[in-house]
Amino acid sequence: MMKNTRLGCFTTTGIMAAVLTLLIVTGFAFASGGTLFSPGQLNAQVGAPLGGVSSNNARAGAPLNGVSSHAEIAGKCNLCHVPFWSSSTMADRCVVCHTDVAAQWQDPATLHGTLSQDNPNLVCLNCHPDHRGPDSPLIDLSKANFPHTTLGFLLTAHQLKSDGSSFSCNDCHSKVYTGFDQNICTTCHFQMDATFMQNHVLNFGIDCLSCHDGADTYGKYFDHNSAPFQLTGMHTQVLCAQCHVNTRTLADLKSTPQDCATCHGGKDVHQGRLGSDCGSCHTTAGWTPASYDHNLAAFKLDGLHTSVACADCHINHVLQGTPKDCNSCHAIKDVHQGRLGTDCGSCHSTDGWTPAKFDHNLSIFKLTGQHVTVACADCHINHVLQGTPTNCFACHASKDTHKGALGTTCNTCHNAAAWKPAFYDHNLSTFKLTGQHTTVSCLGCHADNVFKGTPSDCYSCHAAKDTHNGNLGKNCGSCHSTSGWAPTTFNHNLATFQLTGQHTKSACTSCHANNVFWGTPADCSSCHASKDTHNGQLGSNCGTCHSTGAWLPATFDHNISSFKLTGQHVNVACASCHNNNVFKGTPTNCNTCHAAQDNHNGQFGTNCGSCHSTSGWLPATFDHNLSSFKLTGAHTSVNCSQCHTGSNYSGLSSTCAACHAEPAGHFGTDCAQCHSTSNWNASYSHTGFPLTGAHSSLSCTQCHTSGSYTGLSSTCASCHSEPANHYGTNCAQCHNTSNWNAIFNHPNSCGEGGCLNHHGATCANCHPSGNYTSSDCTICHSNNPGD
Amino acid sequence: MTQYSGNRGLWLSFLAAILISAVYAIVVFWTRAIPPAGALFGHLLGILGFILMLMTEILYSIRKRSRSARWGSMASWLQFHIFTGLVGPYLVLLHSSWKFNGLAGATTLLTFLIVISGFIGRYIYTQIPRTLDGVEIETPSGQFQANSLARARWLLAIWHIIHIPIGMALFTAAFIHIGAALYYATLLR
Repeated sequence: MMKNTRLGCFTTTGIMAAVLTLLIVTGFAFASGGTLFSPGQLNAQVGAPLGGVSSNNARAGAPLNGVSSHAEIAGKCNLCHVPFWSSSTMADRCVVCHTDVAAQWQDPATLHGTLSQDNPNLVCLNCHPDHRGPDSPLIDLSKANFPHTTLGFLLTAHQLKSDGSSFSCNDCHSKVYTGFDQNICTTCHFQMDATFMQNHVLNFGIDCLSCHDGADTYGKYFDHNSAPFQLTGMHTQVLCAQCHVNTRTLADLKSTPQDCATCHGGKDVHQGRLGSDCGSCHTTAGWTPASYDHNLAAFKLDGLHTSVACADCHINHVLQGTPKDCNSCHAIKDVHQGRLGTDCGSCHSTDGWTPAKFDHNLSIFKLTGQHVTVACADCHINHVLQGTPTNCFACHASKDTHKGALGTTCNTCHNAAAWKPAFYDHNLSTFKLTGQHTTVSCLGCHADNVFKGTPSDCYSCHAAKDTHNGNLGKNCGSCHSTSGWAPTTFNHNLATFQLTGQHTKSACTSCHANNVFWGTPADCSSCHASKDTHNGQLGSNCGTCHSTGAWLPATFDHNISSFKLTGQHVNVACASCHNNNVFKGTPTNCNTCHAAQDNHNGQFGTNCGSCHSTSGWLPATFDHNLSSFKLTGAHTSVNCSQCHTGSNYSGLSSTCAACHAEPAGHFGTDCAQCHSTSNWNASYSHTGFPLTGAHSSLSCTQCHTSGSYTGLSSTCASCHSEPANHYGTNCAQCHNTSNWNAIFNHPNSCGEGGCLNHHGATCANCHPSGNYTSSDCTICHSNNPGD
Repeated sequence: MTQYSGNRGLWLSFLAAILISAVYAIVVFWTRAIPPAGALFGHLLGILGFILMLMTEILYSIRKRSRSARWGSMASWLQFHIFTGLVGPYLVLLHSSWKFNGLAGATTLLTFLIVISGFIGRYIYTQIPRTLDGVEIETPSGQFQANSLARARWLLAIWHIIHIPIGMALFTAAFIHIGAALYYATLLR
C-alpha cells in the first residue's frame, strides 16, 4: 500500500480543475468587469435639488466627470474600489468626482464639515451606501451614528414614537434630511394629544422651533422649578398660558413678568392700598388664609395691642398711613387731660395702663434723700405735674430760718438728706478762708449775722491793728499772710524798685530813712550822688555803666555813644582819647587824634576814614575814581608811586605828558589822541585829511617830513611837485588817489562842441606858455567873427 | 450494523436540516423578508456552511490517509463526512438568499453538483466490502464478488476523477467569493 499523506483533493485532475476555475473566474472578472461578484445594482438616481443651505446637492442633475449617476459606471469597480495594495481609500475615490463635498468636508459651516468635525473617522460610505438597487435611497443613516446634537437639535425627547417604535430620520425629515417642515411637529403631536395641542397652538402659535429650540429644555418634561420663577401651591395648577400670555418665542417665555401684580393686579381686593407685593401676606397655597406679621410693619404689636381688633386702629379697614403715635388712638382716654404730653409710652406700657412708671430721675428734677419719700402732691399741687418749679425756695420758703439772708438756694449749704447738718464751704465764696481765718468765729467778720456784703479787704477788719500807721497802705496781705502777723515777708521785687546785687544787702534804712517807705525815689543819684567820682560828667544814671553787683568793674558801651568803637579803637585805652578823664565834648573827627600820625602831611585832608578803616592803617583803600583823574584800563594796575613820585599826591598834572614822555619823532604830547588806557597800540584815524587810494599805503613820514604832524598843508602841491610844462598845481583836477593816470575832459569853452574834436589841435596850440586856465583863440583865429 | 451506520449520517443530516429550516423559518417570519446573504443571519449561514464543507473534505481526507493516528473508525468519519457534506451545502443554499447569479450562483451550482456526486460516490463506495474499521477487504471470496468488486473499484476510480475536480473547482470559486466578500463588503475597499 502506497503511503499517501497528501490531501485527497490534490490530485492531478483536482489541481487542474482548481487552476481552470481560477482562470475562468479571472476571465469572467475581466470580461464582466466585476458584476461577476453580484455586487447589487448601483444607484441610478440623477438627483433632484434638495434645497436647504447645507445641501451638497446644489449642483443636482449636473453630471460629474461626465457621469450623472453611479449606475453609469457599473462594472468599473476600480473607479470606487481601490486595489488591496493601495494606501488610498474608497473615500479618496469618492472625492475625485465629488470635489464639492471635499471642500465642504473642511468647512464646519456646512453639514459635511459639521459631521467631519464631530467624527473625524466618518467616511462617505457611512451615510451613502450603494449597490442597493437603482432606486434605493442615496442616504442611509441607519448605520451611522448621526450627530444630531451637533447640528443643533437634541433628540433626547424623540427616541421613541408614541407607538413605542424607534424614530427613523424620515419620520421628521419627510422629504430631505437637510430640511425640516414644522408641520410634521404638529401633525404628530396632534395625533398624540389633540386637545393639548389645540390649546398649545392656540396659546403659543405654530412656530414650534421658536421655543422648542432643540435644547430639549422646554419640552414635556420641562421643570419649571429650574426657571427663576418656581411654581408652588396653586401656581402648579395654573395653565401655562394664564401667565405666559401672547407668548410666541423663547424670549417671550423668559421675559414673562414675575411680580404678583402683573397677573393678580386686576383681582386686588385691597384696591392697591397694600402695594403690589401680594406675597408679603399671601402664599401660593391660596389667597386665604393670609398672614400679616404686624411686626414686619413699622409698628410692632406687643402686650395688649396684640389682642386689639384690627379695625380699632385701622378705621374703615384703611391699613396704610395709620399713625403710630400713642395719642392718635388714646387721646380720648387721657386721664391726664394732655398735661403730660402725648407720649403715653414714656410712663405706660402696652401691658396695661396700670401700673404706670414714672422715673422722676428722667426729669430735670431728680429725687434724692428726703425728696424720695415725699408725696407727689406735696410738690405737684393739684396733681399738676408740668411746670413744677425746681428751685428750693418754691417749696421751702416758708421754712427758711435764715429769713432770706442766705438767699433762696438752700442746697448751697443743705442737701436733700436732711436740713442738718448743714455745711458752708467758705471757699466757695469769693473770700476763701486760710490760715488763722479758718479759726475765727463767723461773727468775728460777719457781725450781727450779716453775711452778705461783708468786705473782703484786709483793712476793713485789721485797720485798728495797723502798727505801720498806714505807712504801708491797706493791703496787709502784701507782706503778711493769714498764717500769722509774723513773720512778715516783703518781697522788694514786687515793688517798682527791685533789689539786686549789693542793694539786697543794704539795710532798709539806708534807703528808707526814718522808716518812710512810700515815695522813696528810685533813681541812682538820689542815694549815690555824694559818691560820684565822675563829678557829674557822666550824668546821674550810674546804672548806665555800673551794676548793683559792684562799682567796679564798670562797663561803658561806647557804641551807645555817637562814636562807636570798632576795629583798633576797641583796644585803645579810654585816656588815649579822653584826656584828663574828660569824656564829654570829645571830638569825633579822625584828625583830632591822628593829626600827629599823618604820613601824608595833610595832603589828603583830615578824613583818614576815606581811605583807612579802624581795622588798621593798612591796608588802606583809595578810590581813585573819586578824584578828578579816574583810573581806567592799564592805569588801574599801576603802582601809586609810579605816578605819585616822591609821595606827592596832590597837584599832579593829569596830562599824559606828565607821565608819558614823547618818544623822539612822535606825534605830540596828547597821547590820548591815538592811545587809550586799555590799548597802547595807537590807532589814528586820518580824519583831517582822509587817506584814500594810494595815500592809504604810504608811510607817515612820506608826507610828514621833518617829524611835523601838524600844520601840514592838504594841497596836492605840498607833496606832489608839478612836472615841467604840466597843467597847474591842482592835481585832483585830473588825477585821483586811486588812479594817477590822468583823464582830462576838456570843457566846452567855444560853444562849438568839443574843442579837441573841433580843432584837432594840441594842448599847446591853444595854451602856449603853459597857461591852462585861459585859452587864447586868437592865436589861430583873428578877431574877425566871420573868419 | 453496516446498514445502520450508513444511514445514521443521513438521519442526523435530515434532523439538522429540519432544525436549520425551522430557525430559518422563524427568522423569515420575524423579519418578514428572506435573510439577505450580507446580513448577520445570512452571513452566519454561509460561514457555518463553508466551514462544514471544508471539514467534509479536509478532516475525512486526513483521517483516510493517516494510518498511524486512528481517531475513531473510518465508518464514523464517513458518517461525519456525510453529515457535514449534506448540512454544509444546505446552509450554503440558505445563505444564497435564493439568488443564483454571478460567481456565487456558480459556486452554489458546483455545491449542488458535488452533493449529487457525493451521493453517487456513496453508493459506489458501499459496494466495496470493508472491515468494521472500514478498511477494504482485499481478498473477497467467490468470483462474482471478485468481479463485482473489480467493477465497483473501477466505478469508484472513475467517480474520483469526476468528484475531486468538481470539489476543487467549488472550493476555488468559494475562496474567490469569500475573498471578494471580505474585500468589498467587510474591508469596504
